Amino acid sequence: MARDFDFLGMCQTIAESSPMPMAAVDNANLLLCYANPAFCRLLGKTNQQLIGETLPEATNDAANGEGLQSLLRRVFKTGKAEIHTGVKEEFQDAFYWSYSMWPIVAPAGDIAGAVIQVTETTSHHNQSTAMNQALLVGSVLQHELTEASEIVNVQLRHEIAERKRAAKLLKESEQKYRALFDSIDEGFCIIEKIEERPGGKLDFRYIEANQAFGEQSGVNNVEGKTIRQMFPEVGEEWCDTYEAVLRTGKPIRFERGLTENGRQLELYAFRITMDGQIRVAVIFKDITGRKRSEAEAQRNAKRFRFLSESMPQKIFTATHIGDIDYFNQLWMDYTGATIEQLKGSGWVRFVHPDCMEETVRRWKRCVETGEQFNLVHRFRRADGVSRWHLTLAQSMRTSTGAISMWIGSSTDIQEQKETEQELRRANDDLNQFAFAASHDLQEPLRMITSYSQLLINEYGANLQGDATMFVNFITRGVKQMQELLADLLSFSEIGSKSEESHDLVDLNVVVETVRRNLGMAIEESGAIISCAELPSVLGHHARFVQLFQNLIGNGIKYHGAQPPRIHVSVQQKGQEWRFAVADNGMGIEPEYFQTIFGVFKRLHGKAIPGTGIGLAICQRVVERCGGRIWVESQIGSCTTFYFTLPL
Amino acid sequence: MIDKTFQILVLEDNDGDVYLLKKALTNAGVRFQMTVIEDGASGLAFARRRGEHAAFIPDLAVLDLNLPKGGGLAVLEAIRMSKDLEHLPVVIATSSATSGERAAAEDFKVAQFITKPSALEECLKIGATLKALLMKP
Repeated sequence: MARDFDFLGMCQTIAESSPMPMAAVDNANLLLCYANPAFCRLLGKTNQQLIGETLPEATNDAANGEGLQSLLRRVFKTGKAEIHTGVKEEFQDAFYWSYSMWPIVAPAGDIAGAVIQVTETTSHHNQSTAMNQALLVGSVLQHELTEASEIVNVQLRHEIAERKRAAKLLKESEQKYRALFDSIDEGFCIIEKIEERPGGKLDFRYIEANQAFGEQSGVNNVEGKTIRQMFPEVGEEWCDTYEAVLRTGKPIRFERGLTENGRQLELYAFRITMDGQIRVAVIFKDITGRKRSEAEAQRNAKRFRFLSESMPQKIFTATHIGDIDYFNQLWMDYTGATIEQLKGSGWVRFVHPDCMEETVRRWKRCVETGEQFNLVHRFRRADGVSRWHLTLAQSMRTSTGAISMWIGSSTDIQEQKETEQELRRANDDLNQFAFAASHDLQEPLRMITSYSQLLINEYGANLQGDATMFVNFITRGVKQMQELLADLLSFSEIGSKSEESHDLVDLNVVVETVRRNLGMAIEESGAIISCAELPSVLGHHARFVQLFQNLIGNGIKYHGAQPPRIHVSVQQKGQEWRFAVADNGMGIEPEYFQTIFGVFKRLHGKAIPGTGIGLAICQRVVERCGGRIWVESQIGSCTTFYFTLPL
Repeated sequence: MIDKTFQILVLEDNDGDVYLLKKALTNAGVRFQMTVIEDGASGLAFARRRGEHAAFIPDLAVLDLNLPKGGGLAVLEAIRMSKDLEHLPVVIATSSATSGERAAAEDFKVAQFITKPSALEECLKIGATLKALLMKP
């Protein structure tokens, strides 16, 4: 069948009717030997015009001519098909062509020519370019989109972060609330009203309760339970209170005792809105201890009142800032004023004008410093007479040391004051008398002495019999009286007004002075005087010399069979020095331990000289310094005089 | 012997002491004229340049402290206030004096503070003390 088919005729028909431009080139001269109608249309030439032209001539494509020719030669040479794509520019337009060439092989095997098919690829090329441009635009757009999306992303991320933060804050806030809720040491709970059923009783349910709830109330695990369940005794009363809070929205503070466990609670209930629901929050604490203290304080206050009203003194109390807030009845009786007139600083009007300024100044200072108030001043009585009072007031302090109040008393010391004044007057008179007496008595004695001696000196030769002896008795008697008067004068001067100021006196120096003063007596008796290291004390050097000289002198004077040995020592005892002057003398009978300190008290006759004032002087010196003096002794062996002086 | 006759003022109410003082000065070999004033008021008049002794300027004054009508200290003070007498040497001679009196007297610059001795011998020695003061240039 196939052999009968006109293959060449079919090829010609295809070529002639093909819309694709096709032509054939002869191998012998590279000239076109065939051009189909599509080829002619493409180039705008007739078949006759094209046959016999070279391909570059036919296509009028100088730019690609040489390339096409060499391509044809390569097809002829190699026998393989070639494709060439070229561009031809015409009137600013570019046309793209694709030339496909393949060899025509003759039956003998040699290459007779080549078939050329021309295809314009401009539109294809343009499409490709457009696509590329589209791709480029696309990529730009994509870039812009990426940027835009990045912004969106950032905003999104920010929003997400915000939401996370808000969520975290919320969580933290919840945690804080929870922590606060659980950590406050006051009991805290939130309750909601249970819908009343007809005939049912008003009740509230515990929604939340903190940890301290149990500690403060003594009742645990209340959440989910109702007030009436948990507190059957007091529940009803509480429910009424909470109902009022819920209804009015006004917080209520109240105190209740729990009959269940005897605790006293202080509660504060207020209305809150939670999860869109109106509820009641209750904050409370156990005040059982405080209540007990208050009750105790009240009992104590009653006791204090009772005590202060039954005392013979005027009693008062003041606030920590010094305002007097209580006076016992004696104050009202004494001043004739009412308690209202006395309270605060009203009492000041009843202080004698002479003492008012100092009283107020001292009271203010004490209130500021907390130191004890101690003042002797006068208060005016209802009848206008002012009497001396000793007022003492002490601050009371809390456990932290702050002043909580003042308690004071005023004692009428008018009588003591008068007695004291009389005593002082009497004492002054006595001293003055002693001084004047001893002083003025010296004068006539001197006359007696001087003129007795003058009598002997100038008329001695004319005196007869016992006259000289009598005159000597007169002289000796006068001498003794002079010594007595000198001691009495000295005694009366101790602690007189001129000696009110004290100096720090080194007692070691005092004892050295005494050694010198007693030098002759020490030498004559062979006395050994030893002395420990002594302190310095406040007083008068001359008076301490008198004190030690009398005590050491007595030790020498009243010695036993042995030569006198005297030792002075000292010990610190609390807030004072205790001195001891010990001797190995003849000793003193215990019944005289007191009397020997009296003026003119002597235990010995003329054999041992003395005025009997020495120990009285010692006692006066010691007492004026604020000390005491006493004696311990054993007859025939030793005597120790002790005395104390303040540190 | 000293030729000069010294003018001596004695403020003393005890004529026994006046006699002893004269004896002491004589024993010491002092030639003197003694003017005795016996009470504080007269002593003050002298110091304030009034009355009987208004013009009298002695070489030495011996004052007792305990006198009728006022004490010797007041007289001493007045002497020191007087223009005529402010440099007058003054000796205090007293039988006994408190430490306060002694301190006050010393404030008014006394030449000597003598506690009158009871022994006659001591008493007479005062003459020598006063003589020494009188001989001072």
